[in-house]
This record gives sequence, structure tokens and C-alpha cells, in this order.
Amino acid sequence: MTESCFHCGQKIETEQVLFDEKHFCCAGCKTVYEILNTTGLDNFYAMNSDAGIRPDSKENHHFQFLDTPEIFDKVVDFSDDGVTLVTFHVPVIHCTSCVWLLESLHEVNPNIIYSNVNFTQKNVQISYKSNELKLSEVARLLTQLGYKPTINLQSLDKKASTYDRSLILKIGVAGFCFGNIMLLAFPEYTLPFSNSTPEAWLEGNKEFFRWGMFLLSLPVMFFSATDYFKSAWQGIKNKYINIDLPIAIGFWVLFLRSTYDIIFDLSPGFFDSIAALAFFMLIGKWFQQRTYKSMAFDRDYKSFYPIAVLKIAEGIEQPILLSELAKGDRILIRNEEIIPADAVLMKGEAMIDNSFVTGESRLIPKKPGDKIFAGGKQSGQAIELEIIKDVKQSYLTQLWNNEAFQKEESKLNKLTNNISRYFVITILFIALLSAVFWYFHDASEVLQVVTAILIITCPCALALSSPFILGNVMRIFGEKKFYIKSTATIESLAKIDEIVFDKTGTITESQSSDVVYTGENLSEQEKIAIKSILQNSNHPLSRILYNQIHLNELIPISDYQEISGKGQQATVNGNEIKIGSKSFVDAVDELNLNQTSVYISINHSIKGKFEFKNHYRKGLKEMILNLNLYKIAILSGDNDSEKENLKEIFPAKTEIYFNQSPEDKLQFIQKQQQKGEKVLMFGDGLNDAGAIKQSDVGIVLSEDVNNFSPSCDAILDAGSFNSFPVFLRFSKISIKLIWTAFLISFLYNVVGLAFAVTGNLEPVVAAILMPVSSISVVIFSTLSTRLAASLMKWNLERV
Amino acid sequence: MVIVSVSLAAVFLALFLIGAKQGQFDEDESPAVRMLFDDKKNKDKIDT
Repeated sequence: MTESCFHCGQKIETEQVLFDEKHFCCAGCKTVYEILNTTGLDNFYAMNSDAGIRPDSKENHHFQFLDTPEIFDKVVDFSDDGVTLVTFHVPVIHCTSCVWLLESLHEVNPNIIYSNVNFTQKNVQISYKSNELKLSEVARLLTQLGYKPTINLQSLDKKASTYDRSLILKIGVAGFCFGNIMLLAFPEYTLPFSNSTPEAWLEGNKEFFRWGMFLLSLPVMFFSATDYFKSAWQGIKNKYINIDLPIAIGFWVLFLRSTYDIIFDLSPGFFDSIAALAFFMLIGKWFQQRTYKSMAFDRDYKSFYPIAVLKIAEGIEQPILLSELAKGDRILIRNEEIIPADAVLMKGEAMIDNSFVTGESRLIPKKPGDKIFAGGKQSGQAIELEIIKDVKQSYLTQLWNNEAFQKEESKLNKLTNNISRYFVITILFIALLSAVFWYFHDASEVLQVVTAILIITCPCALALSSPFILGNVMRIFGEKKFYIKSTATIESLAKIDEIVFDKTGTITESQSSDVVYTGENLSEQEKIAIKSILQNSNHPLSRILYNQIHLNELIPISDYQEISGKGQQATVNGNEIKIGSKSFVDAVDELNLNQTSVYISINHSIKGKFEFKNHYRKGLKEMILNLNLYKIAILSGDNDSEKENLKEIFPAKTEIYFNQSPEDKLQFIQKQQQKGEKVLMFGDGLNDAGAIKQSDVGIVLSEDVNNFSPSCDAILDAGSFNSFPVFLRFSKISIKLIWTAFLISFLYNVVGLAFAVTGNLEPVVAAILMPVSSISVVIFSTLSTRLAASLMKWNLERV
Repeated sequence: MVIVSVSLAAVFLALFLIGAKQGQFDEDESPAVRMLFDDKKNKDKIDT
């Protein structure tokens, strides 16, 4: 079965659905195809093949809560006179076909008036007739098509996120002033090149040109460049020299000297340089800023919680907002739903997946009366809980409120700022020396020379090199599905000494587990019988097992019975088969305390058991070998049943710790940092969130980049896991490239200094030298990073 | 002449600023994609 699904392009593995002479991997994909075909939207497949997204079939989607008036009011943008406007965040939007399909929703359902996609923010705005169509139905329609909207607490809070447009306005103004100042400055550029006396018209209009330039430079100084002044001032206040300080000095010296020059008719001033610098530097900033607009890195626990829960009051189920949930409330949690607050189980058999909280991947059974922590996910039947703590005081929430999360983010451009510290001191020193020299040589020139030095050494090329190189590296990483929060992360990546891995979900795959059968061999017939029974159960373990038995035949069964939390039994061909827990089949098994397993008995005799083992990522071993320059440690929230396997994969000196609580992990990182190590924490998100935040670089590995991005420095797509060492190497190379770019800009500065120290800096020299140095650094940065990227050996599963 | 050219440029700047303020540059990907889609109804007419 190597056929690919016609809709989503994934390999067909478990089941194959044949429809309309086309192969589909699941019923969900087939449904989408059907919807598209019957509404004449089959153009979808003509644009990009395999563009479809496989609808999530395993989850039951409950959107009814959206129809509750209070929740409805919070979610929609506008609703009046039977027309409602709503914006959903749909993280899976990824290509032109997605945009096309989502904007053709009105063809699928006539009650939708129009829909509009914002690709960058991955939002879709839908206007529909709310008299005819419920909001929950709109959400369900999107889900059916594979575009499940994310509706969570956070999306409510951040309703009014305004997009900051000030930068683009500043660039516009700077560009305008730059162009027009150049126009006015040009006539006087010709002066140094003509031997004769200036032409009469130029002499006559000189004043006009110069004051025109002065006027045009005012918006640059007092609007466009203000960010640099603010940042420099911040630096001075905190007794700290940043790169913006010499830039701000440069700007002001340029401006004041130019004004002085034109007042006393000494030279046309350097207004052209001011505008050019502001323009180029703002463009550099914009380039840096726009790299990752759409990635939300600052999510917190809120984004994991649903916005509404089903409250049970006097036997009636009613959806309420999570924020209205109070202590003592009874709530209903269904399959695959997250428990929003610490609670006590009242009714039903709970199988809690705590992998969010503790990292332990096996399901933990709970009986009525047991306490269940917030953040656990229920698998199986619906359960009733009584809330014992507010959402805000729950264990998980408190973990997020740990002080590691409060620490100030002040890692901005460390490298550039360190250099600029020495830079400023050196420049001031040179300026002082030349001032002393010229004082004895020709005292009238002192001011000229000193300002010329400060102007020409304005480290704009220096300031541009790092945003361009790091911005470009960020972009290249993004193309390889490694998403970085800020450019400072790349600098930190290059300095890492120790790498700490979380086990569950990081080096093992969270979605799939290896199933190993031990016991008496099962015949083909028995396997078919087991599969036929498993077909009837929705228990997560049953589903995994069902998919693991690769036989297509199914036979009828009778007397089927499922005892929740225990197992299931049925009669097949006269044989009574039991599948379930140890106690259910009366098995005696001393060896197996830590493993999740399912036992099989046929006619009351135990045949054997299926053990669920962690499935390590493909290529893990090779990847680890490539990390031999680093110290490696593994922290696992799980028990030590995997110890031997891990020892085999990792080098002998690797430190391995089991049964690590989230706090333990955090403390481990702190301990290593106190030893002076720069620690990289590699985890899967929530349960190691504290450790990730504490580490110098915290990376979250994610199967679905958009769904899982808590506070961290970077997100790595699981498909790119094996190229992790390449990313590390590349970040080191990029730091070297920055040094090279610095060197280039220093060379220009040396040339400029030669002019300045000897008192020969004409405005035209500055006007040529400064933009040329900036532009050449930008070109070098862009080309060198691209070249380096194409030389790296990327080891990607899917690009 | 200079005043004319500068004020002309100022008009363009003003237009740019108004555009930027109204959010014209907020989203620069989906419109580019959107214009490539054929309008289905028109296409049908041409086909028949």
C-alpha cells in the first residue's frame, strides 16, 4: 500500500478508501473531496496537487458551546440584523489552494456571504447569515474541510491586536526626504570636481538649496530616527552602551555640524548623509521585523485551554466560559478534552494522559474520588468532575507562573552591543588624539576634525550587518522549518555547550508508539478475530492496536461487551476472546509494572500481551553522533523502563535522569547554568516549559508547528529534527559571517578616518562613502548567508 | 521647478502615508494569490 491519498498526499497506511476511482487515506479526506466535487470546487486539486489537509478524524469536535449567547458575543466581531462577521484563526492555512478554498466557502454553503483570508496572520474572516446558520455549524464546516479553527482563551483575550504601522510610516518619510535632499544636494556635489570658480547661478541659489535640505532633514531627525535616540537614551540611563548610542551620536553630530556649516556658509552640510542613513537603517529594521510576523511565541497556558466547558447544574448540561468556572462546579469532560482546573473525579472511568503536565506518556486510570490535575487529557468515555481549585490557582498555571517566566528578556543583539562598547571607546580615543594634534597644529580646525571623525565612524554599516545576516539566517531556518523567536537566539545557539533533551515527545514520537507482542504466537485467524473486536472500541489503545494489525479482513463477532477502564470481550467463531487490562483477563505478570500493555485471552487462557513502547525518532542515533562536540543530558518524566534503550543510542557519558518532575527539570538547568554552561533545552512544550524558559536557548519540537508553541526561543518541526546539528553549525557560521561584515565596515571606517583625521572630509566624500559602505555590507550579508546555506548538507524529511 | 518637484513628491508621500494608515501594507500575501484565481462563473461563460 504505497498509494498516496488523492486529497492530502499522505501515504496510505492503515486503511484505504476508494471513491470515484481515487484513493483516499481516510474517510475524512474522502468527505472533503465529496464536498468539493458536489459543489463544483474541484478546481482545488488543479492548482496544487496534494494540497488538502487531512481532517482530524480521531477527535470529536464539539462546537455547540459557540451558540451560547455569552460565548457567541465574545467570539464574533460583529452581529446585527441576521448578518454575523466572525474571524477564526486557522493555523493550517499554507498554500494558494487553501486561500482559494476558504474564499469559496459561499459556494459550499449558500448561507455564507463571503469569506476573506489573511494569509500572513492565518485568519479567515467569514460573514454569514446567522438566522439560517449557527456559528457552531460554520466552525464544523471548516473542520470538515480540514481547516479546524483554534478557539481558545487566548484568542479571546487578544481580540484587539493592533498592527504597528509606525515603522513603515517612518521609512516612507525617510525615503521621501532622502530623495529630495539628494536632489537639492546634487548641484554642490560638482564643486570639488570643477577647478573654475562656481557658476553664478549656483552661488545665487546656494542659500535656497541649503535651507531646503535643512527643512527636509527635520522630519528625518524628529520622526524617522527617533527610535535610535530613544534606545540610546535607554542605554545611557541603564549605564550600558548599545549600538544605538554611536548611531545617535552620529546623527546628532551630523545634524548640528551641518546646521552650523550652513549658518556660517562653510559647506553645504551632510544632510544627504543623514537622510540616506536613516532610510537604509530603517529598511534594515523592517527587514528584520517582518521575518516572523505570524508566529505567536508568547502564548501561555491559556492557549491550551478551551474557552468553554460543559457545566452540569441540576442535571442540565450547559456550556459556560472557562473564566466563569468556579470552585465547586460540576463539569463534563469528554474524550480528548483537557481538564481546565484541578478537580476530583465524580463519575465515570478516567484515563488521564498527563503528558502535558509531567511528560509521562502512559495513560493513568483514575477512580471516582481521585484527584485530577489541570492539564491532563481525558481518553475514553465522558467523565464528570468537581472543580476544587480556580483555573488560575491550578498546578499547571502555577508552573507557568514560576519565576523563570518572569525573567526579563534582555538578550538583544549581545554581540553587536559588545563590539559597540569597544567601538565607542576607540572612536572617542581617536577623536581626542586628533583634537590634541590639531590643537597644536591649527586650532581653528579642531572642531571640524572632531566632528568629521564622529560622522564618518557612525557605525551604520556595523549596525546593519547583524540584522541583515541574522535576519537572513532566520529566514533560511524558517524555510527549513526551524522557527526562531528573535535574532538574538542565533547568537545564543552558537555559544551552546550542553544540550538537554526531554524524552517523551522529543526524542520519542508522541503520536506513535511501537507495539510489541510477547507470548504465544497468534495465528492469522486469531489476529483477524482480535482486530474485528478492536474495531468496535474507541479506546485510544484499541485504536493504536487496531492500526498495528495489518490485515484487511474482518469477520463478524457476537456478544460484544466493553467494560470501560478494563477491556472488552466478544465471541468470535465460538471462541470467547478477552482483550484488556491485567486484572480483566486474570493475568499474572510480575515483570510488567511500568509498561502500558494490553492482554489477550482466548477461552480463559492467557495468550500474551501487547506492550506499548516508546518509538524513537528516525535517525536519532546519527543525529546524536553529529552532536559529539556537545555535552548531552536526558531528562525524562517517565519511569526508567527505557533506560537500556537510551543507553544504546546515546554516548556513554550522557547523563540520564528519570522520574523528573517539571520542577526537577528546571532545577537541573539552573544547576548546569551555575556551573557556567550555556544550556540548550530541547523539549515538547508544556511539562518542561519551566526548563525551556530557564535555559539559554529553549527549543520546542513540534509535530504541528502552529498548534504547539508555548513560550520558547525556537520551534523545530519534527520533520527537520535530524538536521538539528546542521542548524547549530549554521548558526556558528553566521556569527563568523557577522565578524567578516564587521571587518568590512571597519575597513571603510579606516578609509573614512584617514579623510577625517587629515581634515579633508568633504560632504561629497561622506555622501559617497557612507551609503556605499552600508550597501556593500548589506549585499555581503545577503549573498554570504545564501551561499553558506546552499553549501550546508540539510537533512530534511520534508521540505 | 524645485518647489514643484518637491511638492509633487510630497503629494505622493501623503498618499503613501494614507495608504499605510488604512492598512494597505498590513497584508501582502493573500491579495497576490487571490488575483490568480479564475472567477468560476465567468470562466464557464467563456467555455460555453
